Amino acid sequence: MTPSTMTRRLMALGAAATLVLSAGACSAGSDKKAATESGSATTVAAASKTGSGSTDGGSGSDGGSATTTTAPSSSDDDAVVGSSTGQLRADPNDPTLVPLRLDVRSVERLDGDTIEVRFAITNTGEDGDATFEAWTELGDDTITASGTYDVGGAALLDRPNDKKYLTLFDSKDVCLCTGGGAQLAIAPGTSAELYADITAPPESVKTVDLSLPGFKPVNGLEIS
Amino acid sequence: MTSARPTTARTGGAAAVVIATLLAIGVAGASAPASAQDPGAGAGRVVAIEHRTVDVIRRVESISGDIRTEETPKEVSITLAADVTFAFDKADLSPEAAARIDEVVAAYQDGGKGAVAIVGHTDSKGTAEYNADLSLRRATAVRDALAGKLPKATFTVAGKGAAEPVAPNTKDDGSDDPEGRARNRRVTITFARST
Repeated sequence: MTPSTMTRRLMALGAAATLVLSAGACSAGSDKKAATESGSATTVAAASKTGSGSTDGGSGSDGGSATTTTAPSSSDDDAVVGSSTGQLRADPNDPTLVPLRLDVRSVERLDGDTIEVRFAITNTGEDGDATFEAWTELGDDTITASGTYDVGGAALLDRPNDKKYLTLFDSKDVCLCTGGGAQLAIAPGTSAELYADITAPPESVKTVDLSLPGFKPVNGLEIS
Repeated sequence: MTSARPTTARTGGAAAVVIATLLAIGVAGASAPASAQDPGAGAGRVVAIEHRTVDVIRRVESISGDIRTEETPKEVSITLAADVTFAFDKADLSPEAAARIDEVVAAYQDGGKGAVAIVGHTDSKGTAEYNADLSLRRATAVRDALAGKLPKATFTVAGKGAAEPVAPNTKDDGSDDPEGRARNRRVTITFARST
């Protein structure tokens, strides 16, 4: 059932209040295993502001699902805590390399077990250059052989402890990250805002590097 | 433009751990299918994130990838890359394997219970018979190393040869895929979670 726009906005208002309360959640220092209690573990994350777009209404929810939609937060829009560059092929059939910039907006511990990384990819090509459409280049090719149509290739590196934390997928190989099927296209001069939920390192780990296929790692990101 | 995935939330006694999120993205400057957008929407940025509770698989590996741990609410599965754990074509544990075996022991002591299932896998090169035998001998070698440090645990071992690849052995054009084959050469150790 697709919520109406009005309903969605009411939900967003309600969620905004919750958002304010949970803003300090990342410093709550919860026990690493606390999130495994059945049923009730939910966290709320702010999304960057938007003036448009919509969540998919076709959620096909069953009776047991718990869904909250959170309000966008305008303050995160242009925050950049780290950047790198990279290049990837334009699409699976076009080997033209597209110059890209990766801007990390936030690296936030949602609870003891999960970190949410929000980032943007910008096509830094010129007008008339290739559009980046190669979704599977950013996906996780250990989930399915052809790579997943999402940004599930994102990972957090804790080099001092020789650990690489991978993007969360559910038991149906659905990423807990931006997924786009074949629809993602970043034309020259434009960008896409993306996110990935990743297994968190222990609370004692304070900084990590973000690794995304095709890009140089973004090092020294503090977990907030 | 926006896109999103259907959400299939699964809750229940299996302790859905966390948060899955669904995000529709807007791309600045691009137009989007009208059916998926609010009327009057122009260039888009990130839209609201929906959170749902589902069974997620948590994955952590060493940076070189020679040991990977995957956890669901019910079970832990640790994969050892065969190329690090064993010498080429052999079933004797390499010197490098000792540290990884200790990690498996610690993982079981910290959070495992019940029987430990060990399964060896090979890539697709070689005969089925050869691969079945090598994979079983490798699983057995891992079992022997673990049993020495976990005297009270029970173990099952199996060799599946090349029957359960996790990566392509060949590329689409039929040529060899050495990286894929390397990923297929592995031993998995699985046990139930105690917490």
